Amino acid sequence: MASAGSGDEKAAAAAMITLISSDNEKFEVTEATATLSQTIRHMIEDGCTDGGVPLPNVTSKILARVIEYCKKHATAAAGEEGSSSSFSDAAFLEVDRAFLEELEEFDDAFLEVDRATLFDLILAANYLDIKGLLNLTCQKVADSVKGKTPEQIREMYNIVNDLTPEEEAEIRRETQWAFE
Amino acid sequence: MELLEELVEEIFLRIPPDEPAYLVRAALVCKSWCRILSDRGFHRRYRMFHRTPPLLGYLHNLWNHPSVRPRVHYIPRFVDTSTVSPFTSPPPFGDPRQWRALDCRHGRVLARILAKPYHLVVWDPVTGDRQELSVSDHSTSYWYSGAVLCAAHSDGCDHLDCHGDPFTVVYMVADAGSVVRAKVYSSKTGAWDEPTSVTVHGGNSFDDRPSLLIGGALHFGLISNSIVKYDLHGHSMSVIDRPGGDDLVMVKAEDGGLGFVAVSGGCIYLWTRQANGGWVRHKAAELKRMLLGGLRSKPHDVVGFVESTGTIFINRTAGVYALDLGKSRQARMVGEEKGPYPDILPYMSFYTPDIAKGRLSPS
Repeated sequence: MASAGSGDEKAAAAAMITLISSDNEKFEVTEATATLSQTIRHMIEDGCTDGGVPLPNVTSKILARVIEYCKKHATAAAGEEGSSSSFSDAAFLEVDRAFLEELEEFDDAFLEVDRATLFDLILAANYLDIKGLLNLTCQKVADSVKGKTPEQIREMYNIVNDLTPEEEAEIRRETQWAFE
Repeated sequence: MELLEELVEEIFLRIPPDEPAYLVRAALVCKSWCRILSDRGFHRRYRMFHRTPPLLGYLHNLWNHPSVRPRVHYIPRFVDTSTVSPFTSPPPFGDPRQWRALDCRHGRVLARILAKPYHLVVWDPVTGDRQELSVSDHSTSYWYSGAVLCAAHSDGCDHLDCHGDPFTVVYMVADAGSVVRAKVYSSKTGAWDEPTSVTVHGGNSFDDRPSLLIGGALHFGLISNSIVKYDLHGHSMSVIDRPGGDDLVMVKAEDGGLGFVAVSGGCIYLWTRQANGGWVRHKAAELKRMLLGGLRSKPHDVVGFVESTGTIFINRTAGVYALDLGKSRQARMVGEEKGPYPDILPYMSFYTPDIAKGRLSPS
């Protein structure tokens, strides 16, 4: 589990990176947390992180949330590495499961945000190339259209219907089964 | 939605494929959504994202009671597993009492028309294409079976979107003696190959279950506790013994070889083959851990298997359940009908039609 990290992990954890939001707020994070972002990982590999990493597309409000996600999931990643091969007995599997459940609960709570914030998180996850966060946030929106009519989806996301009445009628006629 | 088109796509990719109506309804939200959801490139990415074609329904041939008039053996049906479905049931082959579904694979259905002249039909429920094949000389036997598969199967086709591509049909007929013949039809050439045959001892009629494709060979079950194996590459046939018992269904074992599954006493059992050719039975799982309620049912028959996912279908008092035998061990009800259930032919495919058809006026 997370507490049983090796010496190398501790060394990596000690290295700190400064992230700078679009409104110029500075966030100190561990390298393990920051490198969940492939974008930042590449910057670190290229040695361009001295003096902080400016993120002109991400506000401090959103960056704080993104860091919260990365911190939790970086711990989870370290936990998985520590436990995968060496411990296979039931007690450790039990702890793993409990940890995964906790992570799921964290993700569920993390997604309890308004629509604007959710979209900002998608944009940030895409820009920072954080696969897990992009998947989580996009899945949330995808799940929200399940079982909804086009009218309900438009209302939910403030979308103007620009299909002409003829176009809409024709498509509906051809796909009538989907509206039964 | 104030999102870049590329990110809207990221969202659409994650709309689950087992309810085809979701994509269609989303396409009617606005022009840009309709365009993206009708785009071939998006469809390709969507299929790659999900990798495994979803279960959209299953076919089965209800066995009619002999006392029912007119006396017919099979009543084929298509049961949707999505809440609404683009498919019609029964499929459009005319009188439903005059055909029987034989096999279902790679998005295609093989049926045998029982009215004269006897022939086979390969039907693609997604595209609606149907192709009739005459089976001429050896079609009158009562003991037959058949399989359909994508012709590019051995060339590494992933079957995510091979609708409309060439297919192969393997048709098996047993004569009144002990010989089973196989004929192969290629839609590429539009012709049947010369038949090949094998001798079977102890009865050669086929059971009513669909074939199993593993390791480049089709396996057909006989009611005489034998399996006829047809090697697609070598066009050769052989007979292998199977474990005893009526309720055993062929599955792909964990090692990729032939296996069997059955339910008995609330447990799922798997049979795998040993190096000496004998079969050994393992207890795989306890049903009560996976299914809620309805444990006190009649025989827990296994009624079907999905080659691509390792899912088995179990007939219960409450209905038909699909159960993932792999890692997840998740079960879900897919059909609600009660009573004795014949074997089912799971239909797996993506349903990603072009909705816009290039007719949208500029935004």
